Amino acid sequence: MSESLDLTQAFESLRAEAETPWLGQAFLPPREFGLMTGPYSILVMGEDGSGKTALEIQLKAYAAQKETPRLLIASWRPQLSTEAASSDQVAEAFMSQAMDSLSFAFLQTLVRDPVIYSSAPSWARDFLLWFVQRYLQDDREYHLSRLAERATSDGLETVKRLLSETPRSLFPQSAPASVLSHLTEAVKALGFQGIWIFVDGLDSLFRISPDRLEQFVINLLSTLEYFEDPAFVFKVIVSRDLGLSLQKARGVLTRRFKTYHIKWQEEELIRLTERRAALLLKRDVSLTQLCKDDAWFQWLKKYAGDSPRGWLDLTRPILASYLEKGKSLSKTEWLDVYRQSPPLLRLDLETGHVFIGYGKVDVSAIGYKLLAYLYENRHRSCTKSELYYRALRELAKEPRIKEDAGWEDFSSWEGIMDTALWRLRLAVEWNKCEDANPLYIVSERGRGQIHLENTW
Amino acid sequence: MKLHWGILNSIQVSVFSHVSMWIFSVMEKFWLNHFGFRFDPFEHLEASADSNLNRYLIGYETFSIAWMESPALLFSPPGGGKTALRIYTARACWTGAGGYQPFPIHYHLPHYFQKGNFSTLEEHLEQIVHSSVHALFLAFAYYPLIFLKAPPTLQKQLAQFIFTWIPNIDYYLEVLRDGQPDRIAAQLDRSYQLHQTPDPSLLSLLCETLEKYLAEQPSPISLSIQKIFERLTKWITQDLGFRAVYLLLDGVDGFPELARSPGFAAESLVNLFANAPTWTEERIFLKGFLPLEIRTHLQARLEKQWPAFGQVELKWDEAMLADLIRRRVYAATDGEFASLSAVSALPSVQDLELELARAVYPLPREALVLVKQILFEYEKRWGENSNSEKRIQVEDIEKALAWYRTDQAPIIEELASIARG
Repeated sequence: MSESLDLTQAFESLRAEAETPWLGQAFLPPREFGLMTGPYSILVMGEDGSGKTALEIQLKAYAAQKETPRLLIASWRPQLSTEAASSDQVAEAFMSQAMDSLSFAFLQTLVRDPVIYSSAPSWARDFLLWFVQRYLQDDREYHLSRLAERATSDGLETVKRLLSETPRSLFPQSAPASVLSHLTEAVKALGFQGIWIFVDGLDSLFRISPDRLEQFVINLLSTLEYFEDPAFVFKVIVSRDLGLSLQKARGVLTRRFKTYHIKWQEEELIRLTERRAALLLKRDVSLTQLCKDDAWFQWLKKYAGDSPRGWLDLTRPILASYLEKGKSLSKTEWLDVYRQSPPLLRLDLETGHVFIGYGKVDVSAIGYKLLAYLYENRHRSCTKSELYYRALRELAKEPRIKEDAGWEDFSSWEGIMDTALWRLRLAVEWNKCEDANPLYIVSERGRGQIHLENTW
Repeated sequence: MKLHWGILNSIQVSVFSHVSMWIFSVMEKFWLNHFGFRFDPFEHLEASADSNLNRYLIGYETFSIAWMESPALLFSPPGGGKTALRIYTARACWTGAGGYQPFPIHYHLPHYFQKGNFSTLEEHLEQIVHSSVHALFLAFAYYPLIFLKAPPTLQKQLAQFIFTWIPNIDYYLEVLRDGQPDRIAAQLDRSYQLHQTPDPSLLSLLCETLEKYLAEQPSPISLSIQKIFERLTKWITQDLGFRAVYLLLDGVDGFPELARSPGFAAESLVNLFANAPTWTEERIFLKGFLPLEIRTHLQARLEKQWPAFGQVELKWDEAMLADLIRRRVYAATDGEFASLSAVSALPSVQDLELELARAVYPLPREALVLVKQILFEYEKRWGENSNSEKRIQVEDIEKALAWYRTDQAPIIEELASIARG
């Protein structure tokens, strides 16, 4: 870990890939983490910001630091063909790509600890020689140069032999399952407990080509022979959307894969945030200590949602101010900070959900109509009249004069509109004091116009 | 539980120092010790990996169909117990130390359906012969006397036959020299694992004898695949003294193309099953452990032969699932008790197993999934407070049930959808 971890590193980037050096110390395992480290294939799904990448990094770290018995781990990032893949094409991709990664992972272990190979039974050495020669792709010299960085001299010699000796012709046309079962027995003979394959990069492929990726993964997860060997397991961590679409794969239905949903309880999110704050401050800290006003903690709980990202993101400005001042913030101070960096308002117009920051906000049906209209037109101001006719009455066009279709007398709807807007503000604005300036639904005084601020 | 994370004391601390205690508390299965279990009877959701399967299989009616000397079709939905029944049947064949029992051959459809065209009898026989050779080699490995007692001429024929079909036999003989046939079975086909070891001196003699034959010049064999199949089964049933050959077909829904299209799966199998009744005279009995979805498709294609097959559908009700859990508890506690109620804080009048059976989709694997989750919840709670009573609490069960009803809902819906056809 860097000893001078700063706020940006700890609370701003929020990308686990960039936090690897110290993530282990800030990491709070999901409650089923222990099960996920078990010798079985897993399919873990979580929403954005739920900590999927952190989980994967920590699972890999767990596997890598496990010494007795050790695990052989490799990451496989599938490269899809341009066409939809049948199961034999998936098998071909899996064998050529994942076995390449595994071969290299095996050599990485060997350069550091060649004795495991030299002391293994001859049949296991024969198989692994064949396996590496059969599946390791690309230039051997390039691999050697990469491996040399962390090699012992014996290790490098062993690996050089593995890359140059002629193997016995063991399995010229073996089916994938046969190769996997032979491989696991061979590595077990070297003292490994088993093999873990992390299937990486699925979410980014899913965003680019959802149908093709879904078919590819479903075909992979429906080919049951890959999952029969308890020593060869897959660890798959994906977004909730992709994960749900994979539930129909036979491997999932027949429980070859254990499925987990990353979910966080409020107390876990508090602990997780406090742990990271402590790492930054180099001393234990409670979130309630950051501010003297209890309301700030209620505010955090309301808008941080149920993901680690939400909690860390919303805590950041308060923590920054706390660091700057060197003491707990007063009510005025935290409200100032909050106004300077308010959580943004977002509407999911498909589902009809309203979010502030990462928390869902309940809005009445009438309020939602107004808010949705304002949100769709959030780059401009709207008059009350426009809001009444277009949003509430849902007219295609705002009537301007008596003769226009749908026109109503101003006095008949002004009160309705004012009440609706007042109720909407009550639902949306945190500070409900009469004299507090609204953060989201802003009236332009003297112009009778309204617009949204602080939106996505 | 208070997590002991020492970041302030040492920046070099292991990345897992603060979670290791928790992980181990989950992974160590303290409940085994707390409840007096000798092993975890809920561990294996996949039957072929379960060495204790024979101690708690239920459903003797279905087993009797699998065991009787006639071709048979045993249908079930995914997770319905097909593989468990197949493995149980195969292991039953070896009860009594070999000989005079049926000889089991596992047959899984091959991975590659070359452009969807895998359906002729010859193609099936090619694969069956391949698996038969594995079965024979492993039978000799587990029970060397079967081979060693055979006359030298037969030994030589069998050895050369094995060498022809397992060209890298010297590799497997090296593995066998380690003394663990399970290790070879794990590589060739895990279904053959019998979880036992033969007498080392007999195994050594077997290896020497086979190596002796391997050094000899092989006699060329040029026979059709049908003839090879006939010769192979004749060796088994007549020369080696097994009373029958049981061909155990499974894994038909193991590939997405077959799982998605029951009609295609049935088409791939029809020529194999059409021949099955004619094999009974040679005491070869084909047993299909098949997904329920293909039954109507297969029946439509096998109208004439259909009555020749003994048939059964593996159906599960609450009482059977409750019994499944109880038997596992009974086996794992060496008969000390047969219900999780004995280690729970529930009122004794409550039939816990029946309650759990009612809560799950009616398949054995689903019942096991729920029980495992209850044990996880127990372990987790106990890990957080190791002074708490070592009994399953109502909250453990409620949490597991909530997990099953919410997180597992998509899987349950999909299973129900398959059942509806």
